[in-house]
Amino acid sequence: MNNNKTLSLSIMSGKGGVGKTNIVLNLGYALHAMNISSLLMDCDLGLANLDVLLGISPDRNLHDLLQSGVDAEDILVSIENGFDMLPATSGVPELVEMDEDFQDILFKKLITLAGEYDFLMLDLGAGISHTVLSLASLTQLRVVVVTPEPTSLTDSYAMIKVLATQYGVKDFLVLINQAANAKEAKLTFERLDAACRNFLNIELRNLGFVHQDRTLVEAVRHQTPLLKFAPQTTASKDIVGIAKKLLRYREDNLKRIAGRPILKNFPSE
Amino acid sequence: MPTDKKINFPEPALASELSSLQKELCEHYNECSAPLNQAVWIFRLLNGMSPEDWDAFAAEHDLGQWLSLPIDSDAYPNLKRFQETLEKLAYQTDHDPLTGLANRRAFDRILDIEIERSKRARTPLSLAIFDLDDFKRVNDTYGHPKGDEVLRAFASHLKATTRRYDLAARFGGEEFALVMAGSGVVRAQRMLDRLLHEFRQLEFTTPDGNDAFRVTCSVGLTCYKGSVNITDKELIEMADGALYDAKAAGKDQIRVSRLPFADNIPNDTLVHANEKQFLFGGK
Repeated sequence: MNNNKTLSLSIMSGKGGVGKTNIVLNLGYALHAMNISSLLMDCDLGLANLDVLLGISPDRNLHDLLQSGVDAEDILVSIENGFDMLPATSGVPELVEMDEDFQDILFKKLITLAGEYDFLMLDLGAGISHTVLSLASLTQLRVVVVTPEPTSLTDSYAMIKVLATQYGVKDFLVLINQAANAKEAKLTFERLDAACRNFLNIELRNLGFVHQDRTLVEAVRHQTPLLKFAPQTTASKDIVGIAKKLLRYREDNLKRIAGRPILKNFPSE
Repeated sequence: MPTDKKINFPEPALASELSSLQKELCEHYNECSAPLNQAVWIFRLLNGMSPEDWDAFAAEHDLGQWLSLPIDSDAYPNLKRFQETLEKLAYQTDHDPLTGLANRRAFDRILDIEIERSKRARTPLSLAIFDLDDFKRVNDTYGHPKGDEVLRAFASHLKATTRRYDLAARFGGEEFALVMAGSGVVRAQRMLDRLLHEFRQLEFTTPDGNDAFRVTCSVGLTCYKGSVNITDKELIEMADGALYDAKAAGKDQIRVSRLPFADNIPNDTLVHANEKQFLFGGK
């Protein structure tokens, strides 16, 4: 028993451009507004985005942790009090893949720090690279961000299938983003869920949906989180609703979380 | 003992004694089928025999397996000779004497290891087999010494063009092979193009010194990506097949024989058409 209190989540999507990073950032923001601390980790290695959405350009990033003298606190960027992030690099193709050794160094350095937060959220890159898949299998929960587009649907299904068959991961939460209305969101979830039940024998959990919202584009241009830029807009309210669901899940499962490591195999004995 | 004689010991008696001892040892070895490396060391005092004397004696009486060591003087010269012999033998085991390239035996061993490495690490591995075009005519027209010169020139070209971790080998006759670890078809082909181009330019003078001639070469190339199970024999057959195609197509060129790509796609993670249809239409 390690008395862990941190709930770890991977936020992922098969297809790029479905608004994953915005979801992560605003979920963190919503939790912060409820006085819940969270640590966001930009795991889109090689093509970092989280810092850009926040309008910051940090000097150091996750890759600096590979140096022996650098600790997690040294690269930590505070967004608000109790709402922090760990930035990644941009434009270094050699660093896109995070091999086992790198993961080991990284998480050994991060895990104590991560344990001080209520939530640890990994913003994973799109696609089904080994790095994405192995990181997704480490966290306690996985949130798959899907849009109603057919391409997003198939890519998400492919990603779930690979994780299920190769990594034995069978539990997924689905978040429908950029939905025109509740009906479209429901249909999208049902299609994906039915395919997973039918072919993979997996039941998906519906985490809810976020409306398509033009204000978001504005917020991105202003490099400000939507929740800060327009807290009353539909999408903001949707995200707050989802944050509440995640919070409830965490509170309902505190006992289970306490018995499990934050990330599989970390902290290691 | 007289010292003026070249060999100053009772040669016939010693020879017969040593050969009977050797015979006995061989029989004993066969009886208990002991591993060969558990050798028995026998000493016999041979007064005044120099290392050179021993070499001559051993060569004459087929006693090359025996090691001679002085008892009362410095053992270093004898040990050094022994060491040199071992090194020479080790080199000969793995190298072709004419060209200095690896021989077939070394090639087979390395290819087997590289296939295993490729399978484990999923790294590409290319194999090229070369055959000098119309080489018999070179030998017939200009004589075997000229033919050997051509083979040596090709070998040194092969060595100069390849990277340190590629393995160039002589298969025998006018056939050569190259194992390129970490290279796929595209990169290997680029390198081979360069090699063929350079070799084509090379001029050999005829034995009478009045004329010059050129030699070309055909290549069969294949590449393994570590996905399917394959033996070294099968990979060589693939490259051989490509070499045959290159010869049939008019020589002096490279032909590629590809392993089927689709064999390595894991069917369990593949999204099939019926799954896609289900996602789109809910059928």
